[in-house]
Amino acid sequence: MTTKAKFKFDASAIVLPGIAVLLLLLLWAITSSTLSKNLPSPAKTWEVSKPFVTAPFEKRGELDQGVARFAWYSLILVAKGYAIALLLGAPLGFILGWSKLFAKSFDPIIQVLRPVSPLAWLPLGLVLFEKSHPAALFTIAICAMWPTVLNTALGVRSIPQDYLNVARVLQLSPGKTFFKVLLPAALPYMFTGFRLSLGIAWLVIVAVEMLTGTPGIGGFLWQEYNSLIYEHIILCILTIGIVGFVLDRLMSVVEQRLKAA
Amino acid sequence: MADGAFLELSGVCKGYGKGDARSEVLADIDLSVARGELVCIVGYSGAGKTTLLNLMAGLSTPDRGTITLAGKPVKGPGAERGVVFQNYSLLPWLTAFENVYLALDQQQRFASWPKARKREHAAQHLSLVNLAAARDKRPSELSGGMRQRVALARALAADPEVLLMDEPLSALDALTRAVLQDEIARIWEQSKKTVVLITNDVDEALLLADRIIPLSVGPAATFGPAVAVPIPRPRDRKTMNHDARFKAVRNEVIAYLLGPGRRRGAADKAAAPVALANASEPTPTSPPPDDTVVAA
Repeated sequence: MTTKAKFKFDASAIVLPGIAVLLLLLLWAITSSTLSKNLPSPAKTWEVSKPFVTAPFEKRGELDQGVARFAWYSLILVAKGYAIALLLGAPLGFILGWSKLFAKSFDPIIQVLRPVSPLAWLPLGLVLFEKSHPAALFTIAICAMWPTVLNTALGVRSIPQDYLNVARVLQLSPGKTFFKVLLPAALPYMFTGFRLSLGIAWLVIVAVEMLTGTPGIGGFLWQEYNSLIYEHIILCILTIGIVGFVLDRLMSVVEQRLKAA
Repeated sequence: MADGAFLELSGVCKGYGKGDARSEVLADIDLSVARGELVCIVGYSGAGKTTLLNLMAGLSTPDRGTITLAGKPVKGPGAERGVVFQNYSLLPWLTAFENVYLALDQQQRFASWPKARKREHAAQHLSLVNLAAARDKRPSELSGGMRQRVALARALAADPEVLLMDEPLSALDALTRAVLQDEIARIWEQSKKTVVLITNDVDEALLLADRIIPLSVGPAATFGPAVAVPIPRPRDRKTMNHDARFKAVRNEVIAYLLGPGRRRGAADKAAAPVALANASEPTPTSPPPDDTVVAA
């Protein structure tokens, strides 16, 4: 009975999304053949994208590479920017969560800076660093940092007083208190921040690559738009979505593990 | 009490808030505990028992009055005072062994010990509370009673001179509670440490204490007259119930708690005896034996 029920569940988990995908493809096909003639049809999109998908790591030329290769360039840039975001965001969040004075002083600034779009940060980055690569890292880091800052601060504020009392009664040194008590207690919250930050970093990459012309999935998208190869725009959108989804899944697996521990 | 006061509180007051919003939690607390003595403080829930323990532990400082240990003023937490918290307060990301080990890891007096000896010492204390088999389990994998044993082992491992326990057994079921009461009695007999145990269970105090001190209701809770427990050890809970001395002490403590101890502070504000409404845990209001005369 249980195996049957399980099988039924698995089937519906594949069949139902499958039907939804087919419906979307149908809608897309109808739209491209009636409402918007410029929108390439699903079949045409596949046909034109085929060399980029079937040989995803192929490098035929600087602007003619497989999608996985482009996505890989983007991922490397994201990884660097994200690392900076965590290195800045986690300590900032710790201070913000620990010191009421600091939180009171800096919270308004953070609330104002947080909603600023990557498109607005990038020109400032270019002015500051004069080169596109560091400007791109600056933009990714500063946009992706906020969820880490705010969730780390929340995590630190949520550390039970009991644990702090234990640390005091056992006379732990500041270092031991940090690594054995504060950090493990705040870590589940911090990881929620890390996951959200990674999502934002991946969102920002496309805008950054478009504006700086850096090779990557976003740069490829913009270049193909300028070359009037609209099929590749759709290919890029799908690739960006799938990579983003996989990143989020990976992070939430780690997050769940941490919360269970 | 031959060697006089070891842990001493005199005229200790503690309150929270300022001005009109200020509420006095503890008022005029005088306490003198001799070295090696086991004192139980029995009082109502919410009367300020935990506040009192935090003061003795050095986690907070009194507004007025002094606390001294062996003549030296208590200024903060110290290795000579071990604490067992009400809710165990084990670190959930560490195993039972690591929780105990952490207690001696940073203490000055173990600084010269090699790591192997410290580990051995921590393991011994897990064995002392019969938890050697659970050394690599995390608190979430342990029952409430086992967690409290780990907490006890952690407090003992640092080899404190005084053990302060804040309702250590109140979160446990009756059977586990009885087992752990016997175990605390056994460990105390072995170590002969000075112990201050805070509880809301008069029978627990009778089983364990050399001396019982009732704490009145708050606000501005204070101590009633101390009652010595003249019952020889080891005490057996089954025969104790029929012991005339047991009944006499029990009546004396309950008479205070339900009489003067309940009225105390009621004049200040509308002080509701919080514990009376709380039927879920054994408060000092648990029905006294048949022949008790409750002072009304």
